[in-house]
Amino acid sequence: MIGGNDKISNSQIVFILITTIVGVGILSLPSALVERVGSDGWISIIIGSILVSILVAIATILTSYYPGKTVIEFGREIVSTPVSDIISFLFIVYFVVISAFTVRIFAEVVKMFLLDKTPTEVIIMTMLFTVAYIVRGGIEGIGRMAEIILPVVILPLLLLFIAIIPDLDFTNLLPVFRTSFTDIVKTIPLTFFSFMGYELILFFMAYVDKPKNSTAKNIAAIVIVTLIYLIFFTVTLARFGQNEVRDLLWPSLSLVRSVDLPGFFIENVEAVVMGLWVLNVFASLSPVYYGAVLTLTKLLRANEHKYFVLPLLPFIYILSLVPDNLASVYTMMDMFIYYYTTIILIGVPILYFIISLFKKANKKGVGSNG
Amino acid sequence: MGLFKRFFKKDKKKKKEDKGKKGIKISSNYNKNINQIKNILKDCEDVIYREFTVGSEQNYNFAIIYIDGLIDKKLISDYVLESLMHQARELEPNPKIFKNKLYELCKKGNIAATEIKEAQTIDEAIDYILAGETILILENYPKILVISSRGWPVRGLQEPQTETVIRGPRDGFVETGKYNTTLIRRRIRDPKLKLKYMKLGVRSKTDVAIMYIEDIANKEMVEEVKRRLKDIKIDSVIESGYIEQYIQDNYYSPFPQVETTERPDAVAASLYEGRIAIVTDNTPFVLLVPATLTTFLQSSEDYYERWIITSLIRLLRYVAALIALLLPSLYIAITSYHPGMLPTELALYVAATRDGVPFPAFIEAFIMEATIELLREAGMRLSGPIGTTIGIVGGLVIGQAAVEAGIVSPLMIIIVAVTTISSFAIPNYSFATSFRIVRFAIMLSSAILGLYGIMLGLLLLGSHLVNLKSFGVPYLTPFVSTGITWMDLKDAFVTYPIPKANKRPKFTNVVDETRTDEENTIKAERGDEDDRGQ
Repeated sequence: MIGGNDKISNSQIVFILITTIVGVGILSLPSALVERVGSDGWISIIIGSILVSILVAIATILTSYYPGKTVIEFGREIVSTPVSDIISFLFIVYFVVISAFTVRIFAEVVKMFLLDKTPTEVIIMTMLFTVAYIVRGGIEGIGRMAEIILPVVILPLLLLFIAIIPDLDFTNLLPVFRTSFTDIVKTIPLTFFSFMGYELILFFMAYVDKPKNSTAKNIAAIVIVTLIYLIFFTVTLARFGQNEVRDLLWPSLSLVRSVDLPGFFIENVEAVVMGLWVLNVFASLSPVYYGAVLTLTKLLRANEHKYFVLPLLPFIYILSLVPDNLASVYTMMDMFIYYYTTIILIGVPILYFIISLFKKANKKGVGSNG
Repeated sequence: MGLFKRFFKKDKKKKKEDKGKKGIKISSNYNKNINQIKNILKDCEDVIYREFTVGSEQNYNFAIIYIDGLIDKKLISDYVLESLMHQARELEPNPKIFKNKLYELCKKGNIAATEIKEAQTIDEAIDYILAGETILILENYPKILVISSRGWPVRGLQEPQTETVIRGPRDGFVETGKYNTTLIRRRIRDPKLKLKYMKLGVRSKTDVAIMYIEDIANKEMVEEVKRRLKDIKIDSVIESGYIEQYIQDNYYSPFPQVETTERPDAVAASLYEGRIAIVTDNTPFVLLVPATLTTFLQSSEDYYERWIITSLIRLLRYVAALIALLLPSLYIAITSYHPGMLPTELALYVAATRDGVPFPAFIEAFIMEATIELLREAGMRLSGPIGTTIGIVGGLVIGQAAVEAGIVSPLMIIIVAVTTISSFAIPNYSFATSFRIVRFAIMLSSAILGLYGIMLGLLLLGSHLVNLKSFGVPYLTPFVSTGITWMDLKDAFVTYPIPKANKRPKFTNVVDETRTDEENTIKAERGDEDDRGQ
């Protein structure tokens, strides 16, 4: 058989990164930022993205030291098998929990805007099975899907933003630089974790066919995400003003819902936007789910990932139903993010990078001596 | 861990090596040979044995064997029997030379047929007889001469019924493989156009020709096609559809992964794009691989008409495909779940037309769609006037009557009609059919989950399509990025003026990428250094 070699292109990684990062985070980011730092939120987005770019660079360089290997495999070389396997297990937990939160928030949104009588469980279940189907197909399919979904989501959104321009009041963006620096620093974890999903580099770079300028390309993905966030933040703020944004649960959704297309056939674009939202969440969820499946497969040293797709599904499903309501979803998610993901997302790449640098230096030393 | 490995490892079937050619050897005993053939072809009364003697003293026994109706009798009688029986008798040959060189004489000097082969075994000879050749058995020689004499009635060249064009050549393939390859060869006078024959089917021994242009088509792909064809284990190949189902990548998919066509110009154009044609004997349908979504949405006429016109038509086809796929589902979702989506007046109108309809939207849509499918199927099998009658009865009477009886809403009739027309605007028949199948699935999911259901249906469809491949080429090329250029992506939606479109599509991993002349020679000199992974 030609093909079927589980190879993706570096540009597909970029697409995967963008669709994964811009998942459910974009929904609440503007209101969370406005609540804390008012109109200075864009500063913390930029600072957060710079920090993430550094980590992305570290992660990409780290993977380039071990071509064709995922973090699960090269972790075993860097920090002995048991330690690495424990970290891999932590990754699985992380992916599963993030998938659960994502799908729960997704289900709540769909319930609120599209299907108010359908049980949350049904929405979660159907979405998870749909995602499981593409995850079964492997990384190639996910990469291609991201490539198709991103333009399909972005182009109509751009059109909507053009239609929204007359309603914008850019004086809402003022005043700038009014918040103290410490307040801005305090919001950096928040923006930083809006970039969750970049850690997939550690897993997926192994499948890139002939990587070239990967670091630059991956950072470009972060830059694009930052632009999307900035656009959403400023437009939301300009449209609604600080006070209103603060009270909105999902200002980004309210924003696109408020669009009134003049002379357009469809009365309200809500349904169209919800359609795009389903696509977006699908593209955001499938790489994370695949990350969990891939890690489990590599951890057990199995050859075929397909058998691990469905066994993980009940875990995600049950976890997604643990919070009683939307408020507790967000509280639990924040707790999880602050305490758990800090270790995983920041600690692991940096630790691995430093140790592998030392090992490299040692090797070189030994090599020149001998 | 060993258990896991065993559990997850795919069983790789060992390839069975082809056994060496076996068969009964030809003996130098003339009667033994004849008897063996007669024995094998026992009870085949269409086999003709013509035995005769040659030489001035009539002391050499000869025999020709053929199947009645499969050969050109005039050729055999005028140029083979005539020369052997009469002319050979008139000469007064040197007996020594004659005896020793009889075979050579026959082979080289006496038979005025254009093609002569040798059979090494009796079985081979019988294969030739069954294929329509005439064999000649000589006394005392352990070899059999095969005289090419195929000739049987064929249908004349006609315009293909399924792929009519406004502008373009009107000839279509026929049922004889040789004629079909000729039709292709006539359009490509290039020594690089290669043709390899294969016999498929243990019993049918159907001739299958693989055609490709050597310095354009990707070598790996040609090898892959040959390999897959060789792996076919079947006793008969009646139509190229048998082969298609064996060589396609995923036979669970509703989508065709091999393109079929009856048009020689379409095959020639595809060969120039680096694709590979599989010509099967006994059918006018030629297979083209690899096939992608865009190839099914293009018609050969696209490149004959002016580019602005066809660009528009091509865009129209995408719209048609979307309508054929989604329109009934959108109707179901909007009427049952999201009536607020429509402008108020329209929503009221829709509600008014549905007033009195006793079924939920899904049942209503399903009834009408199923009726249309029935009509289509019935009309297709019945040709000519009866088919038209069915169309009128079905379309007018049932449609009108159903509305007046209040079973379905008039809007539903419009939607079904538009959907059906759209599905016929897709040029490739089997591809359009797969869209119809998927349409029913999406209708079901939209009946359960509304718009969200439609999105899930589309996502499942998309997930299937992104993983689908045709001979290693992703089905969704050029919408996905493996080895494509911007040009490919533009060509998917619009056609270019021919002088501007000087690059071949990249999806087949062509060796020679440009269509213009100067660069061709440069590339040819450089050889095939560019061998991309997939």
